[in-house]
Amino acid sequence: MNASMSQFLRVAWIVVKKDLTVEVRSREILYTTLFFSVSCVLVFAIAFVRQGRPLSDAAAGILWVAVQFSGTLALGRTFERERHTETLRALMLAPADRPAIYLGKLLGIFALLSVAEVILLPAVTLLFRAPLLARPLPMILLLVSGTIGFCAVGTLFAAMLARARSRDVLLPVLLYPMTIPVMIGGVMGTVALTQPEPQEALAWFWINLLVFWDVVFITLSMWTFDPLMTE
Amino acid sequence: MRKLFFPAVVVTTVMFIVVPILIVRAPYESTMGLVQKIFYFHVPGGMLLLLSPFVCGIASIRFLMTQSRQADRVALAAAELTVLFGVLTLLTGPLWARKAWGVWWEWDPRLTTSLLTWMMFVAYVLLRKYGGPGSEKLAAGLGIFGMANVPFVYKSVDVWRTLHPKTSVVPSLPPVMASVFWSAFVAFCFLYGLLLVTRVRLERQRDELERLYLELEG
Amino acid sequence: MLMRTSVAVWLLLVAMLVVGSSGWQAVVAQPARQPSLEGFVPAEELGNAEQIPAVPLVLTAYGLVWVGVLVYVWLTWRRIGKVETELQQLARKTKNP
Repeated sequence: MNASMSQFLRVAWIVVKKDLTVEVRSREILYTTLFFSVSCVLVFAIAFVRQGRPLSDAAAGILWVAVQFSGTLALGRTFERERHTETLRALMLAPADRPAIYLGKLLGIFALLSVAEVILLPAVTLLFRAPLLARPLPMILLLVSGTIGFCAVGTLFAAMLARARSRDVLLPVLLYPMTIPVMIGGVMGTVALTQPEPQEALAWFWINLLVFWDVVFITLSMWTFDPLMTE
Repeated sequence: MRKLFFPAVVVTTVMFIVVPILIVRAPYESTMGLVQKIFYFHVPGGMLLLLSPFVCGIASIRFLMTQSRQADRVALAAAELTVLFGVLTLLTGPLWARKAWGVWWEWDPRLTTSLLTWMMFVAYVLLRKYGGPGSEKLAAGLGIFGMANVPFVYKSVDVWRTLHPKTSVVPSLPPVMASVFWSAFVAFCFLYGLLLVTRVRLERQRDELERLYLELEG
Repeated sequence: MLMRTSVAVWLLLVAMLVVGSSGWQAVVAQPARQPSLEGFVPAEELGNAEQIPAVPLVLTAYGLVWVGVLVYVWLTWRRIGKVETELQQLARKTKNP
């Protein structure tokens, strides 16, 4: 590993550490996101579980909608805090690689959402009687690749929107249509895994597509982050 | 460019007079009958709907690399035209589907891709309108991502079942139908080009107006 | 500039209206016959047993395309007009303040 590469990773790690330190102190975003995602699932359970019987295949959709909703909440709140304390400007003024800053923010939000998913997964499994953990490896890979994909686009847009007018409304407006392939991949892969006869090959196809999507969109984001964040 | 504008309007006008006559004279399709004639303007519209994001995306890349105002105007114009051609395609499609498939809408790859592409560019236009100052950079990002997303949306929906006629229908058209189809396509391309140029000029004049106001104040 | 643009736009509008109305009458006209091998196959004649009438669907689709394009052209034209008037007012203001 050459010097510039290790410098790059060091900057990314510092950003992650800074975000996590702030979060561990206040736990504001973690608690609100967790509570929000669980209440989402509860609302869906009330709507879609009739006399103890959930709609067939509803669990997969609900899991991913909950991930998307709570992800939007976490993204909005993270950058709102940055904006409020003027730390985003400070970060941008720092003599550091912009793509490294992006990567750091991405990893921070990914870590946060992963914690939320650790709660979400058993909640959906219990409330919807879905065998989500019947095939743990592909299920976890689906969640990881899908969440990275969502965060990749979400981090870039939330960072750019931090300066724009009516950012609260615009974040979901921009993010939801853009992340549709992630949602399709995640939901379809999960549906394949929760069938009475799990179709693992199909799930692996979706994992591959999601990973490919992640690579393309993280590359694009790292490349555009610098010119996009320059004022 | 300006010298070509007026002749282009004339050519487009002539084409839009000739093409409907060609469509009327084209033979009926054996299984779908009259309703298949929607094809001659639905498909060119759909092709432009999926090509226009690439105009927007490439212009956005140019804007980010060179800061050229003109590239930004082209991106905005292309995004707006994506929305317009999306409306045309998404409205004419169900009318055909109603007769050919018996339903108004089906979650088929091409339909879903068109709808989602359209939605992404509606978001782009909303951002330009309500994003406030500085939103053109964010919009450029959205344009690039929108362009990159089109193949992914297509591929992911393609794994669902396909009902829509395959794209291979176009090269395999019988000669009469093909000639009508391609003239309709060229007419639509001319229309697209004209609208794009007009829309870009509107944006340039707006910039000029802003500059004059700033000069007056400063 | 506005003069020429508006002339061009009017020309386009008139042509579209003319074509729209001629297409309306001609859409049910007798088709030319042409043999073919694959893809969309031209029919010798229309079957009588069509459950959903196609004519209103085709006419609506056709009309929607015209209306859509016309509305967009009209909106763009109006926006251009607005900016041009404002530009002229501003030019007058800067000449004799």
